[in-house]
Formats: sequence, C-alpha cells, structure tokens
Amino acid sequence: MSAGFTTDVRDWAAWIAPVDLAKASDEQKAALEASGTHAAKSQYYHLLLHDPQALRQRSLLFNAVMYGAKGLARADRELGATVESIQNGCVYCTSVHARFYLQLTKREEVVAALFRDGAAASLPARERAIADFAAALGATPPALAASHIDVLAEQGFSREEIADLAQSVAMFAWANRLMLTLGEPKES
Amino acid sequence: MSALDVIDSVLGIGPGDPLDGLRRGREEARLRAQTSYDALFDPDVFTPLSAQERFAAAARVAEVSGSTALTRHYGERRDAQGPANGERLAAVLSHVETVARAPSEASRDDLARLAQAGLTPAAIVTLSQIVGFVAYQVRIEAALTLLGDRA
Repeated sequence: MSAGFTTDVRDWAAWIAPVDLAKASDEQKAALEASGTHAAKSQYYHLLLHDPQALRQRSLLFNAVMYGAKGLARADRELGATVESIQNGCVYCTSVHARFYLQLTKREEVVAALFRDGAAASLPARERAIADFAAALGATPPALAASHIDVLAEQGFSREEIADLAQSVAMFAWANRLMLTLGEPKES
Repeated sequence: MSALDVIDSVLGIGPGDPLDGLRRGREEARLRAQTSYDALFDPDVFTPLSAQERFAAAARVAEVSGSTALTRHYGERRDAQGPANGERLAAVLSHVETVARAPSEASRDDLARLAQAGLTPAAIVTLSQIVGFVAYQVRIEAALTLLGDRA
C-alpha cells in the first residue's frame, strides 16, 4: 500500500462550490446541526448541504450505525470502517477512523500492518475475521460468503454484532464514495 | 413518506421473520435507511435531478454492484418515468458507474463533465448521495441475505 495513509488530522477540499453558510436556509442549518459539531467548519458538510434532506437523514443513519449504544463494540465498527476505507483508497476516511480505532484500542500494530499491506495484512485472528468480512462486503460487487460470517461467529460475535459490522462497512461504502469523488484531502 | 420499507420489500422480509427481529433490534438504523431512501427518491421531494435520472442512476449502481433485486426495484421505477435527456443521462450514467465500481478513479474532471452536461453543484451532490446510498443498500442486502440463511 502506498496511498499515503496516515492517522494525522487531514482537511478536505471540495472540487465544486459548497453552500455559503451566510446564505443557508433554516433547513440547511438544521441538517448541519444533525451532522455533529465537527460539521460546522467542514467543507465536506457545507458541500453536502446542497441537499439538506439527504444530508440530514444520512447523518441520522450514520450516528445510529457508528455510535448506536447496543451491540458491536465501537472499536470494531471503526476497524470495519477503516478496512473498507483502505480498500477503496480513501485517505481522508482512513485518517479519521484509523485514528478513532487507535484512540479506543491503542493497537498500533494493527493499524501499521493495514497501512503497510492493505486489507490482506497479517493480523491476529479476531481482527483478521473483521478485516476479511469488511473487505469482502466492501468489494464491488460484494463478495461476502457464509464463511465470513461463520469465522466471525467462531470468534464469538453474535448475529446482531455481525449485522452491526455490516452496517458500518456499508456506511463507509457510502462515505468513501462521497469523500473520494467530490473533493480531496489536504494538509490541515 | 412512503409506508414501504424498501429493504424489507427487496428481501421479502415480513413480520415475525428472523431478519425482521434483527432489523427491529436496531430501529433507528432501520428507520433512517428508509428515510434516506425517501429523501432521495420521493417524487414529491424537489431535487435538481429528474425522477428519471434518479432512478436510472440508482438502477445502474445496483447493476454494477451485482444486485438483481435492487436493479429490478429501481429499473421498474425508472421505466415508469417519461423519457430523459439522452446526452445528460449518458453523462450521469457514465459517472455513476465509475463511482460505484472504482471511486478512487473519479477526478475533478469528472465533475466538470457533469457540469458541462448541465448539472448544477446541487444536482451533483444529490447524484453522489444516490450512488452512495445504493452502495450502502446493496451491502445491507448482501449481508442480510446471508444472515437470513443462517437464522
């Protein structure tokens, strides 16, 4: 892997004109608020404000999928998001979610292996099971097989937790496509 | 808001099915997947893309992503709309195919081509959300299908 993956904080610049916040409607302001405090100064969210209804519903889904209180540990959701983002080559998404994973787990060796060798990196069995599931589901078309689910089950994941992991990976199939095709990361 | 839940409909999930229980255990995610669909595809919601363009783009993403059921879902709705501007639609479909298949290959020039075809920044954002949403949806469909087999 040599796509320049990092856990350093990155900024993101849009390729087309974002919404001017000074001229934002009440609906646009509400959509920005639903997207979290970090959205206030983010050009990515300002761009997505062009469609405030879509942004608002997507942010509510994102929050449920990534921060929902029940089920799969937050760190495992972040690992699924990170593997998918690496596979798609999304340097910005990877920087954010690998950083969250590191903050939660301190597993620097897992992140280093993924940055060096990609989704197929050599990992401990539990992380390997998550990465294989994420890489298969993230592929286009998805290449998920029953065996990916069985391996997670053998590692102790419940059906609910496996479904939560699928939600996280699917959410980043979406997020990566926005981040990669509407602008690019830059040094902050 | 439509009463239909598209993921249930596409997977044939009914009340009492194991997958119904699995989805209802995460009610907010279930709800917001549907309200995202409504925001992007409800014909009563104004967007700078025609309904024809929205459904045609979604059908193409589903097709590239190998989902027979979602290709049919969006294809039927596309075919129920009137004809579209051929040149503009061709630009839209070419772009969404790249974004669905290999998003890292899309560039600033691709957005310039969409602008030349008449898409405003708002139309480009809505189109991108549609591609992203269907990319999400096909993966939920794929995972639930396998989890349903293992209930």
